[in-house]
Amino acid sequence: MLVLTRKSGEVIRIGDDITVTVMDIRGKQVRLGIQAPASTIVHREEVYQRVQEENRLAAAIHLEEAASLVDIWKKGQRRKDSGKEKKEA
Amino acid sequence: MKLHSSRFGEVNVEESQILCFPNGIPGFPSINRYVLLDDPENLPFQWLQAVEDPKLAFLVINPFFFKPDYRFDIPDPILSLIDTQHAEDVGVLIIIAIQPKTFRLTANLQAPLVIGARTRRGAQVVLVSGPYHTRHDILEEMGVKAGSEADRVEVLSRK
Repeated sequence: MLVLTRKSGEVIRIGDDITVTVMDIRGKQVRLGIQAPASTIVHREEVYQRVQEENRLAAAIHLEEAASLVDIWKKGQRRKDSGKEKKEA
Repeated sequence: MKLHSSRFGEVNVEESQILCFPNGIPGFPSINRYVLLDDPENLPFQWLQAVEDPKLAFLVINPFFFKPDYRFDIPDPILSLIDTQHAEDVGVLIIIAIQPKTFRLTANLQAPLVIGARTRRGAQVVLVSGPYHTRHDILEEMGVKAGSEADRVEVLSRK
């Protein structure tokens, strides 16, 4: 990994069209300003990782599990509908 | 064309049904082509089946079935990725998961799938702000009090 030391206000450039500016340093927190082409998507790493993990978990659903899951959904719908009827009555 | 699915066996799909995810889906960046499979037994859920990987499929649902007030902004880079200009031309699907310990049914509202209706190009948006997270209990979102054993999905033993 390339490691660079930068001061507040200094910039690094990645490729031709991405810059990362150190906006502010306070204690353990650094504010970064990122300028990138409209097509570049920037994520907070921990959020992105959480989505990756959730996708891997989701991809493990078996067909049989889906049947059980759809059952729960249908029961939930019925409970919701009967709840509504009670309120209306 | 014929597609192989570990869940459904051999499936016939039209080329025109194929959805292209140029960046893949986080966790599966190199899988770019998917199709939506309808199983009447599973409605309103659908399977988003990978074309290149028979084992890879996600159970997805239109969020408006359980959360009609779901709203989010589609970032410009995503709109250009799916080559679509107007939000009206975007279809939204949410990936469903079964939580490992509680066996609850959850929806990842923080990372909706958006698909250009005309371009058939898709992407998973990762929302950076707003009220949504990756594990919304679907029954709770429907306004049904969940909690009994009966609300747990029967999970096959996994190694």
